[in-house]
Amino acid sequence: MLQKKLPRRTFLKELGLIFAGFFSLRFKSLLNGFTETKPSDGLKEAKHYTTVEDLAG
Amino acid sequence: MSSVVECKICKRRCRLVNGEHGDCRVRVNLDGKLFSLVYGKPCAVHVDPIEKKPLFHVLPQTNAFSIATAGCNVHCKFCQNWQISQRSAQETRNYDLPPKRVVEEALRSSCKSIAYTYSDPVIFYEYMLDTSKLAHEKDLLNLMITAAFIEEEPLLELCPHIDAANVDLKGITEDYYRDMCSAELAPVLNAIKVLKREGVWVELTNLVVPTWNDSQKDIRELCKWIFNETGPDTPLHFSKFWPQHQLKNLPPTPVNTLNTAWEIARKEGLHFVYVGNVPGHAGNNTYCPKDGKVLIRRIGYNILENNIINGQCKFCQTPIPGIWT
Repeated sequence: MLQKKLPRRTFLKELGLIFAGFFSLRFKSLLNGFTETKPSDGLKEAKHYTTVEDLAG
Repeated sequence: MSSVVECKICKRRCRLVNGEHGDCRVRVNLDGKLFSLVYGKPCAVHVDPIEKKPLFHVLPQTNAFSIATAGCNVHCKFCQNWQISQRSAQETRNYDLPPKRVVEEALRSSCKSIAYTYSDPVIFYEYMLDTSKLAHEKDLLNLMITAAFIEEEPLLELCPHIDAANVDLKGITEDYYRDMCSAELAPVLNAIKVLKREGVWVELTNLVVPTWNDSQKDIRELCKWIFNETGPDTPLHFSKFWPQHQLKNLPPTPVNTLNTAWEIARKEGLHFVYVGNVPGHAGNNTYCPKDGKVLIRRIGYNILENNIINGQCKFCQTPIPGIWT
């Protein structure tokens, strides 16, 4: 897909919008309270699959 | 003897020999059985305002307990969560949080809902399914934030347990889905129709990417599809693109482009059209489709004014669709 050149942006306007955006975000990460685990720990069998064929060897 | 398994969660229908992972990176064939590598193992856990999903017509100004695992079954060049979505579970830090514990933590955090989000919950399907059933037992809503690249059969099993979904309708052409996301459009359109038919509250998000899907023709066609296939009351959020991942060469979406998209959508008859990632824009607000008055005035994710009473416009009593309590 072709990508065209765009008109010049107003740098300060965009910067102001980014700044305003940060003040509107509220995040709370909770990962510090949980125990780390590995993918191989306690695997769960998936749903919605089929066995297609048995391969010898 | 070892078996080949075929995953039927999405259209890719990955066929995996013993030890092989699916395209999503988190489902694996082990001795002829397919396993999820991420069940109960999120790599992202946050409390977010529900408006961030974005869901503007569901329990306004409440918090959603938001979880995600590694992996994804689409590969969008613009992905803002690529550090977890385009990674295997071996490459992320994952935490032990089984379904029962998700619900307990959500309640402890005073959340009213659980959101399955950030990467794509299609690939942690079993984890989302089991958690959602427990969530309903404790009167928590379940929110699915997804690209909806999912087959109909697993989606039908899931729908009774999902209250609301925000679906990324990324574009309206197969070419866009192939070139930008390495995916297909048709299954996504079908999934949106299935969700609506099954009574799930649906809001749609379209990320407007400069030079890729920002033409007036594409936006008009997208809006026509939404109007014709889902009705005028399906909220549509136009989202501003920020340079990310494999598209750092592009500039952010100009506000004028978003303004144009907003106007096109309203002219095509959609009642609830929003502009995201642009704090202070008039498109942050909800307007009554009958008298045009501001129902919910927002700045970013914060609500400054709410004029929806018992699910109706305070001024003219027009019913406003959504999940308000």
